[in-house]
Amino acid sequence: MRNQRLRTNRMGRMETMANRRVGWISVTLLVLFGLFLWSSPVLAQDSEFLGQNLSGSVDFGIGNVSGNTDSSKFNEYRDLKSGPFIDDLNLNLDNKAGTRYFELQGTDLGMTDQNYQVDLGRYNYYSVHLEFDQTQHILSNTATTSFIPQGNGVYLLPPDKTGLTGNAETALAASDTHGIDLSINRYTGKFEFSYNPLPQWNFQLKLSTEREKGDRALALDDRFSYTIENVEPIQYWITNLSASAEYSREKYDVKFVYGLSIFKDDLDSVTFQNPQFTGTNGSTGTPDLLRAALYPSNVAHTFSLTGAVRLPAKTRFVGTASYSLLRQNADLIPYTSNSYISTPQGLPESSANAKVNNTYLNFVLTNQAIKNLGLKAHFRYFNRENNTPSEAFYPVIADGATQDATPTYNRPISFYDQSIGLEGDWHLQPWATWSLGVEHNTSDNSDLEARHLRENVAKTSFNLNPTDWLQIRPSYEVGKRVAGSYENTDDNPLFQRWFESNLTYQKGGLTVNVTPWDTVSFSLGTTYEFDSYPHDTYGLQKSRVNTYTADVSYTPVPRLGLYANYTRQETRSRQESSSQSSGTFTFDPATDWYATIKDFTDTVGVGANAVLIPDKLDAGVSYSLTSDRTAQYASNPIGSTVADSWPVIKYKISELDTSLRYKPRKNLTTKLAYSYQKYREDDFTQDFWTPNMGDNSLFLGATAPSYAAHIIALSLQYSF
Amino acid sequence: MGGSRRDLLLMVVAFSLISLLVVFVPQASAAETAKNGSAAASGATYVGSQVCEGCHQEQAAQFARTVMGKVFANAARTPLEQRGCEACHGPGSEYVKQMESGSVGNVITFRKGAESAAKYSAVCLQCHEKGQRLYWEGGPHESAGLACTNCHYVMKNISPKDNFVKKTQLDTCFQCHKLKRAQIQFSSHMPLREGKLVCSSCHNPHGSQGPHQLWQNTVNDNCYSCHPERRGPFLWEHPPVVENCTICHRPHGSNNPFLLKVREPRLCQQCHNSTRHPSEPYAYNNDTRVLGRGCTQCHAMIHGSNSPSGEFFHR
Repeated sequence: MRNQRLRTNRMGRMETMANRRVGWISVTLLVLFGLFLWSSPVLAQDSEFLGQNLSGSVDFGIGNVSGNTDSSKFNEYRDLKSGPFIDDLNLNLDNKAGTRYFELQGTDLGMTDQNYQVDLGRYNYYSVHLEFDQTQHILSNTATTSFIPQGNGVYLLPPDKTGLTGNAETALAASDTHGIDLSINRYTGKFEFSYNPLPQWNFQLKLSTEREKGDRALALDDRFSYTIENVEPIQYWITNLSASAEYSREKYDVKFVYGLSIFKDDLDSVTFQNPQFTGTNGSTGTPDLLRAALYPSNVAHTFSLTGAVRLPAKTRFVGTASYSLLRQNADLIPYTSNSYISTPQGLPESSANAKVNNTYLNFVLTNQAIKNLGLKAHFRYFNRENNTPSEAFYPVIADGATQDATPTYNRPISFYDQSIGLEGDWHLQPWATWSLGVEHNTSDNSDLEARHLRENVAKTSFNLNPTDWLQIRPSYEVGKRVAGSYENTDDNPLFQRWFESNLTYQKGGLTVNVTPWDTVSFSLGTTYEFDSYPHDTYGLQKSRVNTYTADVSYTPVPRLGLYANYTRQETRSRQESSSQSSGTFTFDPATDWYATIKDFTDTVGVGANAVLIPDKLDAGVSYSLTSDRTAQYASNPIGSTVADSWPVIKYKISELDTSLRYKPRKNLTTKLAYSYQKYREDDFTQDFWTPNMGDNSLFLGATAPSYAAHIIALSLQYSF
Repeated sequence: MGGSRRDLLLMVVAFSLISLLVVFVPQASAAETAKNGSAAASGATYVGSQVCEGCHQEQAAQFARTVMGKVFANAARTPLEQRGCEACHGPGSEYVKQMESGSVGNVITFRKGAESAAKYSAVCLQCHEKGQRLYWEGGPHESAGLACTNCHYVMKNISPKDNFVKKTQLDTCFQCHKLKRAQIQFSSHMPLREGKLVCSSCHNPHGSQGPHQLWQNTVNDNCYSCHPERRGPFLWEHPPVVENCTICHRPHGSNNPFLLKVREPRLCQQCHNSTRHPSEPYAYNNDTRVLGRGCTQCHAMIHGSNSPSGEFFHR
């Protein structure tokens, strides 16, 4: 580990020196190029190029990033580093007649979050869109592992790191490890074509292919005893195709869409060598290998028909009927990778042969016939019909010593969910609208214990604009869900799962927007949601979300704009459990414990934009701060079960941005920007987590620590 | 699932009855409304865009640079498109007459509050009530009294694409959705603030056949559009996963890893708390069920398993 860190530091210093050199060269080139553009005579807008109208812009520059940026959070979804950059590139070509166009756009050119788009076509007739996008998601850059990839999802340990027993993982975690970046990259190519042969006809074809590659953390346990964490290799291909045809007239519209989605995983499983394996499994059943099935390749087809028609009496109907086929028949992997145990019971089938058919209906009927009254009725139906065969499986749990003697049947889940409702908007006055709606929902799920759930909802709101500078919007919704029956199959007869049990809920909100003068506007808003599960003795009891927002903007003089905003989100939930060490539930209030979770987040933003010299010089400054505190309070009021509160988890994300823009010429803008970005985490679930936790488990040590960065950039935007 | 057919039948009957109510009860006053509507017609005639451009040169020059301006000027295919300015602002003869007498009026100006939101939107829907906007009428934004002009400005290019009233789509949506503006700043978030996703990556703000104005039919179908590996179907399914991703996740942003609503193991213990290890409270110190990824360190395939030994989502 020490050698590795030394190597990393040395390489880091060399990289910094190289960055500085590149930086100075780039700054010099940038300044020279800027001077050339400033003095160049060819700076007219709307230039002609080969007889076409040409316009465009390029935004490029040089940046420097310094500070403590060695955290995956810093560049989680972006690629910000020292050196030259091309932020934005635009090229627009219109033919002389102005009937055809060609557009090229690029952002973050050459970076790992780059995007390129080409649009071309004939206005109002056809369009072609081509796109390439790269999106990265860095999960952690602190992970280390001893595992060596062998290809095909197999990871083995160095020969001298096997056969470890007891706490030997401590030694394994502390030495002979190498760093591994946990990140996922998506490379997406898109082609879209839209064609209007006649104004009432439209045909569209969309095709996209995505390669998703990378590694994320994955842990496999050995017979529930301890956990070995390594990486899950991501090697996906995702292809989506959509073809649609639409015919529209003034009174009606018909649209048909076919969608195809193909997900292909290059790997069907991931296998880790077990460091605890000593050469024979003996009576302990210690497996030599640990294996898990990865996400299986699958295909989905969707056929969708949407129709809209204007009926007499200012009535309009629009409806969609959709049918989807989801198929998955990837080969099943063997029951276990443990080569030392026998599996007398074979697989019932070579694949899950999974088949799900989804039916979806959505109908909306609106009517505006009565003066000042708008009515809307809706019906929505979704049915998931799972025709996957239920077969007898004899699992080897966690690659352990024996195969289950009694079969376990897979349980394909089918369910339906439907909703019907009526809403009315009554325009009481030109400035006042009252809305009232009722809704009835029913659902049933073949796998859940609650059957025939029914939910009634009532909601009302006002939209009040008593003057042109004031808008008030209060809203309220109340709902009640009742299970037709509850067939408790759980070990605990007093337990119901919250998302299928009886529920009462309320939602409310109030928004006030005030614009007393053209130069001032402010708004206040608050919402609350309260869910209560009155029949749940255990599990989630209630949850509550309150939010508060405030916004103000002020333009004291036309050249100066000021704004500020504040948001607070409070979420609370309370759950109850009974500590039961055995596999059989025994009612004993002394074992009960409670947990209350409070998650409060404050977000503040302030900023100013000033035009210092009209059309020449402007400046901007903004600051934002997001501060979160999550606390979990636990207690066991009357028993001996230890239920401790956890340390408060805190996150703070702040960003200060300043910029100064100078336009020496109409189509040349120089910009100097400075940004200070800080992320601070105080999270015991990361900070107390080490590669070896003392229970023979072995982890990667993948965390996303705090960072603080200074970013300076000098850029030029040249328009032509 | 026999109840499904019965419930469906009941729902269809109920929807039919409500539809009858919606269609026929208001008909008594429809004739009066129609009469009022026709009485409101001004009788103005079209004068042509050249007349408008005589005074509004700057607006005309800016509009000519927009996609709509180019379509009207160079690629008009329908009689409405060929009317240019008057396609949206209405026939201008009365306006011109009034101008000559020193006053203005009799055209649709799209100024805030001058006309109802429905009237403004009706102008746009003359051409645009198709494609992605089939569900506009009756959709959440229409019901909230919004007009197309709350989000779009077609007279000049403010945003690079889609004629937004703000420079970006996010700024446009955040005019009203201020809570979402805060949520994308949370520590666990999708790449909206980095510019790799926008609101319309998931939502169709013009209304859709799906819930929450999602493009797809269900919440899960929406999530599968980027995460098709979670779609399965799997040999072993986890009930809340196939039902709705938002049972466990907050898609707009969370302070918990993986956009979870509550941290593990408490999240899992909201449902799994009857016996054995899921029922234990767990101390925070040195317990791998609390630290790191919590329960999913072992139950790694929680979204579904295709291993024949994966009934507990270990494999």
